[in-house]
Amino acid sequence: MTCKELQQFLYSARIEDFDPAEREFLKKHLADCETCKTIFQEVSKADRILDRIKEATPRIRNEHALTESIIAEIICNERSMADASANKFLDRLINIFSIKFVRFACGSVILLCGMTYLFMEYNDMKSIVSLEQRLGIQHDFNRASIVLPGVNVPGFLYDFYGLSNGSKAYIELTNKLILMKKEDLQALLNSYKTLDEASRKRLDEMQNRFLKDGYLKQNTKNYEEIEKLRTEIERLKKEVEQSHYKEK
Amino acid sequence: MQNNKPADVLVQLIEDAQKGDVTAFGKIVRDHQSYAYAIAFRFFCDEDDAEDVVQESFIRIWNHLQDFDSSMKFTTWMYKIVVNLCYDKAKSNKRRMSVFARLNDNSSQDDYIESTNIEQDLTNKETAALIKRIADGLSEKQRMIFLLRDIQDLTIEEVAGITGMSDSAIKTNLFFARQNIRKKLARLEVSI
Repeated sequence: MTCKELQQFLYSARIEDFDPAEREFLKKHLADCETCKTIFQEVSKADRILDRIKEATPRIRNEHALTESIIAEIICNERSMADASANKFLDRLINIFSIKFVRFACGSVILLCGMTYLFMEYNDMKSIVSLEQRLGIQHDFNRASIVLPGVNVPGFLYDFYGLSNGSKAYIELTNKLILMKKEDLQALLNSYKTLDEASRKRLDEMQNRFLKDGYLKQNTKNYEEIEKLRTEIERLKKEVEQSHYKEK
Repeated sequence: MQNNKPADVLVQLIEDAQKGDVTAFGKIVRDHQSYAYAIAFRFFCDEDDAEDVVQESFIRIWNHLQDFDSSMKFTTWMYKIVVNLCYDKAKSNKRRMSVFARLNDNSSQDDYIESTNIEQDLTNKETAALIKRIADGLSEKQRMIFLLRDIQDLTIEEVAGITGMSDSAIKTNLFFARQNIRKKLARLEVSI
């Protein structure tokens, strides 16, 4: 082994890893070679420093706090995992919507229902306008505040598009039927008499449907007065019907 | 391997923890966190980074405790996780350029080392400064292998098991690391 090879060996191997023959060779060589001896001394010094590093076990600043934070994190993760499994069913349900066909089908159903509902509302409004024209009701009276905005389509339309003729007509007509004075009512009933059976039935349906709505009772201060008037309307209607029958 | 806990007690604790006993796992953490911390601290030379790695390691151990192969030493498995997380964190730190900015800033540490008397017990700061100084210029792999073999005193087989490298690759890296470190230490002017 040359001096260069030995020096490289000294830098890269640990003395304690040398076998007895290598140790003997090293001992003899160092006695004769001053350069290798200096390097051996340097390596020995380096090893002593490394030994000190080895002995200096790094200390955790706060062992207890570190353990606590690890356990707290684990418990927190476990809890969130438990919550996640509880939501698994909901997740699965939501995941169904990741299928294109399901999304399309649901969208179509919602669109169809919405369109049907709007079409029905449109028809209602159309018949109201037609009734209103036939009954000769004037647009001089508006108590739209008794209709809860946004609850039904006409209410919504009135709320956001106040100039919508259909919604305005619906609201005004229903209000008028409820709140009109007795003399006005008599005039209306005279017109009512002239209506054919189908139109009359339609008018009654509209009026009853509106009066049955619970929100009207909850949101109208003069509900009792309305109720009295309604009873009066019913009575007068019956009178008209009876006279109509007698005439027949 | 540095583990004073009797093997059967540890096995029992692991079994309990595998069944979901957090208290048993807490005992395992208490007994082993200092070993995990020693590796992480010597690798990063930073207390915050080391604590982050220890915390992350034990959370990962808990999550994968069911996969633990009882034919393997628990500490070897733990070291494997710690070492992998050290590499991951070093990568993310490198991205943020924080670790290397700190590693390159040696001026204050040099003064600190030169005024240190190594005969006294080294504090965390002193150890960090010394390791930073001598391991500068080594790759992460070489530094880790040197730490595991020469500072943690693990066998070549254990280092191979932890790092997943072959014996010959470990010896080659170790050869270069030792040569580099010893040359630096020989030139270092410290009183010993």
